[in-house]
Amino acid sequence: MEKKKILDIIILGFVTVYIFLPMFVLFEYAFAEIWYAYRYFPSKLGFKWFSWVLKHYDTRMAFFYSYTLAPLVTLATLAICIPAGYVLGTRRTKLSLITENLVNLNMALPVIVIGTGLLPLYTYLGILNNYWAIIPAHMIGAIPYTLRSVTAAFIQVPKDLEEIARVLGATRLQVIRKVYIPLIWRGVLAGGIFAFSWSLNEFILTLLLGFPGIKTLPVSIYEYVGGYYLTPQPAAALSLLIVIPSILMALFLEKYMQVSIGLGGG
Amino acid sequence: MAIIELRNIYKKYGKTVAADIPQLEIKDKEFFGLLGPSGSGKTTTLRIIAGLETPDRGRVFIDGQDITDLPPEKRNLGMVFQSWALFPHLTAYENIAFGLRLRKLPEEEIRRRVRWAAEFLRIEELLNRYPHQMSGGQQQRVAVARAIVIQPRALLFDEPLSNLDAKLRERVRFELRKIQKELGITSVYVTHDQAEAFAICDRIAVMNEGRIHQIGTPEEIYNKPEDRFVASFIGITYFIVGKISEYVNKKEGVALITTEDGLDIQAYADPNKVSRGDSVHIVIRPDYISLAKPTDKVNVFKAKIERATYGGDSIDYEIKVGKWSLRFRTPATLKLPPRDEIKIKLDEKRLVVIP
Repeated sequence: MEKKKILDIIILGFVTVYIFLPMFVLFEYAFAEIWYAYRYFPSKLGFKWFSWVLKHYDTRMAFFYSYTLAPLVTLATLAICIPAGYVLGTRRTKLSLITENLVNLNMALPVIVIGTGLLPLYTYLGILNNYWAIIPAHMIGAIPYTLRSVTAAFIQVPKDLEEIARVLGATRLQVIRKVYIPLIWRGVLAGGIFAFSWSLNEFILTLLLGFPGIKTLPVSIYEYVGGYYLTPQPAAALSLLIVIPSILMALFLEKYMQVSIGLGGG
Repeated sequence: MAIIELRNIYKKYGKTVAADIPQLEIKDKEFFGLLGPSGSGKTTTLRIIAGLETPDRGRVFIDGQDITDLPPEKRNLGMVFQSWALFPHLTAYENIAFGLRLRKLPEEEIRRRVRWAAEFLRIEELLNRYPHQMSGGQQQRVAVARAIVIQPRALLFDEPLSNLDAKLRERVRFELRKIQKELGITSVYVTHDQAEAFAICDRIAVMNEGRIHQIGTPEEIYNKPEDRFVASFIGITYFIVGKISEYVNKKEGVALITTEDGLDIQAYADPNKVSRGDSVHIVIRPDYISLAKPTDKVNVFKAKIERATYGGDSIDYEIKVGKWSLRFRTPATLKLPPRDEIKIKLDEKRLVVIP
């Protein structure tokens, strides 16, 4: 084998292993029923921790919160991003470009900064520890990603298509139904997945603004790891329970709908 | 039956006047061209007819019906864009059927009409393909089929051949004209290519900076340009400037024009537009010039060959007559040596003066 090729394999292999090492450890912890100290691998594997975690009222509530908040955040984010993406994508004016840059800038802000800003505001409004108030907080982080995806979808629809459809007899509404939706739905779906994953993964704002009443899965995992119990096994099991639906969704979309996304979010 | 009329149309974008057309009538079944350089307002005019652009002032009529306030979808017009604008998510069949489905025709009728349009344009074998699986020429045919299948009141073309390669473009010109004549649909054709306009259109409006400079048949536009813009935009044009010293035949408008450097040239000068003593431009094109025969008496001048360019079937000469640079062509078989003094004849029947 050529020297160059070996180098390539080493570099790419390192990156892959590096990225997946935590996942490997996570799997070990999640499935380890018996694991003696100073051993690299568990002696007995099983689903003990999964059933343990699922039995707890707290984690059940965490599932409920996470998996109801995520769709709500997704819908609300899309409701804002579709019209905004239409404007940004079809009218490339100076105003559009400035807006786009400002929104993108938000992606560079650490979430803790946003949280520090939101905390006094939520306190003043008296909406701390409130289920519904978590939705707009999640949307702040989700919108830039979703908007990018939706805007890109609109940019790819040439203006000509809208015009020729009108001339051929389509009303504005029919243009949306027969021209825009068929051409942008993939981008919208990808944008929706970004929002969904963002909400599922969101930790800092939820902890700051929702604690102690609203504990989503990431907050719940944090409690197992860093809070009162210091128990890595349930934390690992719970972590996998968040990841698996995301992976399945992403695989399904990539395979059957050719919606190209990473796993999205954070 | 469709007569298109524009009255007092005015449209401005910022500070630029995009269209300023006091009066334009496009006759029934006519293939009408809007010809001009980019930014001349030809596309804006077409889009105002289509309803894609709203004029600041003025009205648009089809057959006497004021359609100015109708949205594009209520005008029942067919249109072909420069990009052809086929829907990428639909097959050729569905692209062609698009307007028919919007009209809620029964499926049987849609199939019958799509078949008819596909046969007419000889694209039956393409019906199941998506736009990205078709060549430019094929896409263009689908776009035309989609426009005619709805049986529009009129057809609008916005530079539909600009994206085709030169060879194909020439062939499609004749086809478009044939289609239009067979269907007898009033059509408006926007182009910046005069050869295209000449080949396709019955009448042409030459536009610049939003205004129509001249309307006429291709022959009129070429041989009787009314102003300097039209004269210089169409064909290869040289001007000789002089003063009308007298009318040789006032009834037929034959005038004698004398230049500063003492040339006396006979040319047609409309007595209603110019008169004795006026300073005028004589429009001279390569095909108005020939080598003088011994029998020629009028408009014969000495010329010096400055440069000869071989062009395959002809040779293109740059010559100097007095102080004026002109160009003319001879068949490639006739080779005149450069720097030679020759005698040329300017065809007085075709020379025209403009103010």
